[in-house]
Amino acid sequence: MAVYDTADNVTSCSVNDATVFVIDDDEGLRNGVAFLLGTAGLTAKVFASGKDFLAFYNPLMHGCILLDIRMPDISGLDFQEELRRLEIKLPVILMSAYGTIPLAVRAVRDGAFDFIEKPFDDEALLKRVREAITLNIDQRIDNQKVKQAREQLSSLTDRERQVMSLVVSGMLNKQIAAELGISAKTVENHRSRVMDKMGVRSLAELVHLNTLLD
Amino acid sequence: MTVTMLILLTLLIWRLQTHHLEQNHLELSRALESARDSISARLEADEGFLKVLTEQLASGTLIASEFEHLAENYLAERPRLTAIYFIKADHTVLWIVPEEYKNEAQEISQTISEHVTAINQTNETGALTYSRPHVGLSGTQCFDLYVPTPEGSRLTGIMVASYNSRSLLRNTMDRSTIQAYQTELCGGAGQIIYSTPKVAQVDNRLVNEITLLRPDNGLKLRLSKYRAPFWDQQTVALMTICIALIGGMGLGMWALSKQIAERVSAEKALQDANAELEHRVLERTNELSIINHRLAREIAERLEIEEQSRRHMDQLAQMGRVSMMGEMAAGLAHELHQPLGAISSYIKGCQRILEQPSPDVKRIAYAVDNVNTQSRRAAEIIDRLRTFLTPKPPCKQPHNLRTLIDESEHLIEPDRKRIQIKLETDIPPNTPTVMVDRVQIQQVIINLLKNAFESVQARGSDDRLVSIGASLNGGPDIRVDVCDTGIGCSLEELQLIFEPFKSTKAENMGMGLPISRTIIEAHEGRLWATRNQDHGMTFSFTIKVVNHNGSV
Repeated sequence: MAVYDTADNVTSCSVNDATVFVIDDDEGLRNGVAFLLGTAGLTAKVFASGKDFLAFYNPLMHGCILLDIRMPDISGLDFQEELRRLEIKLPVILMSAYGTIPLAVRAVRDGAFDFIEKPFDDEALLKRVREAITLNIDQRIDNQKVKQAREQLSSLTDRERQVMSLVVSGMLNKQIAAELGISAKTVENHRSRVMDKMGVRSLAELVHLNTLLD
Repeated sequence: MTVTMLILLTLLIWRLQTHHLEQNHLELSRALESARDSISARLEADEGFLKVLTEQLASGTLIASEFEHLAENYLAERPRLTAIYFIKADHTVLWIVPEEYKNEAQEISQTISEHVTAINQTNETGALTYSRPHVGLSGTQCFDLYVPTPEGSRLTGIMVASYNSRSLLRNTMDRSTIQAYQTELCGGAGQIIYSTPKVAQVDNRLVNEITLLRPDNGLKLRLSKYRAPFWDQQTVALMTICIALIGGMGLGMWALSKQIAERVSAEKALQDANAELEHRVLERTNELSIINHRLAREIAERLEIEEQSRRHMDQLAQMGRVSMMGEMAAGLAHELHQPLGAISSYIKGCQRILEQPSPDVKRIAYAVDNVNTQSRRAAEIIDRLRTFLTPKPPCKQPHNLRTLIDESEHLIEPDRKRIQIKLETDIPPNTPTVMVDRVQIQQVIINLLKNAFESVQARGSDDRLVSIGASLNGGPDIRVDVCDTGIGCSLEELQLIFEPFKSTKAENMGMGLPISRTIIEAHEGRLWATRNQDHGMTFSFTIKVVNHNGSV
């Protein structure tokens, strides 16, 4: 289990060290699925119920959830709601059986990543699982970037922040100098410090970072 | 009654007034006598005093200063007396008390001469006298008492006491007398000398007078009773009692008359009520008999409904069983997916392992072990399904086929209405009796009708017709056909139509027709399907009929 404390760690997390959380009340099925995922090089963790999963999970884990839509203790839809409430942003793939397709469609509309029908095609299952994990990693990286950018932004002085907002709006140094009533040389100094503090090397990067912050 | 009472009351008051008057007269006489006595007593005292003075004077023991001393003291305590003086035979005043009157001695002697014609004469008789009332000293109404010196005295003359009439009365009379009567002093000619102020009207019936002095100088005391208010306390009390009595009586009589009136009206009301009651009883009796009829009818209806509902419940139970079969089958099918899904996962996993350059045999063994377990589980589920789907041996009883079909149609009526299907029934009037398990055969009929409805519904044409008919072909069987105008099926599908789990409908298990066929075959009949020439399909089954002699 990896611990992601810094942006470097997040960016380094991959599909291979992600975890697939298989939640199904049928022991045979969840073990079978876990076996299949294992043979495909994925790490799977099995849980008999949503409650068991929540007891185990911590926010540093990444991957996706493979959830049986029909479970005795909590329905797939209610479980999704519970995940949202707890701000667990793992993508959910629902496993639906005969007669539960409408339910699964509703779940997807409700924010589930996808659903697969039992008995499922192994290739299709593995493909969707990998996609879900990738989405989760991307989300985490973006989240981490935003978090980092916020920290960097807070290290700027008021003047530097003013300069930055004018720079990303596309103004030239001279225009900024006139706008703020300071010399172009000073603007230049502020600008290089902003780039430094925000950890970017080009104007394009700074603009991208600014979009993330918005 | 009231009038009599009033007359009695008037009489009583009159009698009371008379009595009152008599008493007042008596009281008046007493007051007069009492007043005269009390005045007389004082005058006698004065007479005595003057006599002593004259005797002393006659004996020559009384000197001027002593006279003055004695007289002044006497006067000081007796305001009724204005003055005491001695007048000589020549009508000259010798001594006079109080001193202020000395200046009026002349006047006095003149007055004396008017009243006492001859002092000597008086002296001769030796008797005291009273003068007539006159205006005396200081202009007051007065009268004088003359006491002559006795015979043989050294100085002949008269000792005089002058009375102020007003003071005499005022200081002698009782206070109560003065308050109750107007008190008057009258002279001999009847002229009024003094009168107490008149405080009220006097009662002319209650006036009396009495001669005041002896010897008589014509002075009289007259008392006039002040008129008492007509309504004196006693009368008022009496009147109050009487009025209260009369009032009370009147009230009593009024109450009585009212009560009587009430009783009369109550009796009338009672009579009315009785009449009304009789009327109501009659009405109610009629109503009751109507209600009785209705009740009897309702009871009969209720019994009928209960019977119907009992039958209906019976039928619903059958329907329930049919739908429960579907549901259980669906549940079992879902259950079957679990081990199959697991097995599939293990197998796929194994395939992946085997694709690797050096397959991990241990993992494959693990998977195979699990596949074994899961396939056993699947087999168990299928066993349960089979047990469930195998019909019980039919409990055959004679039934009218037409009734069976009618009841089935009745049960499926809500479905028919919902999807708006026209259902035609063509059953010959004399359908024979069949030996069947009612519940099972109805399951088959309902299943076939339902399938037909769904097929018509699926096609969605305007031509929404399903027909059920029965026909005897002279053989030992009766044939029932269920014909629809639905989507029908392909030839390939027709081959498999009675195979389990071959349903063409998403929400269907595909168990209806296999079960139906099993049931019909258990009844030694046949169930088959044919494609119609234009649209839809016809499902037919045969059932053995009971012969007239009762054998199948």
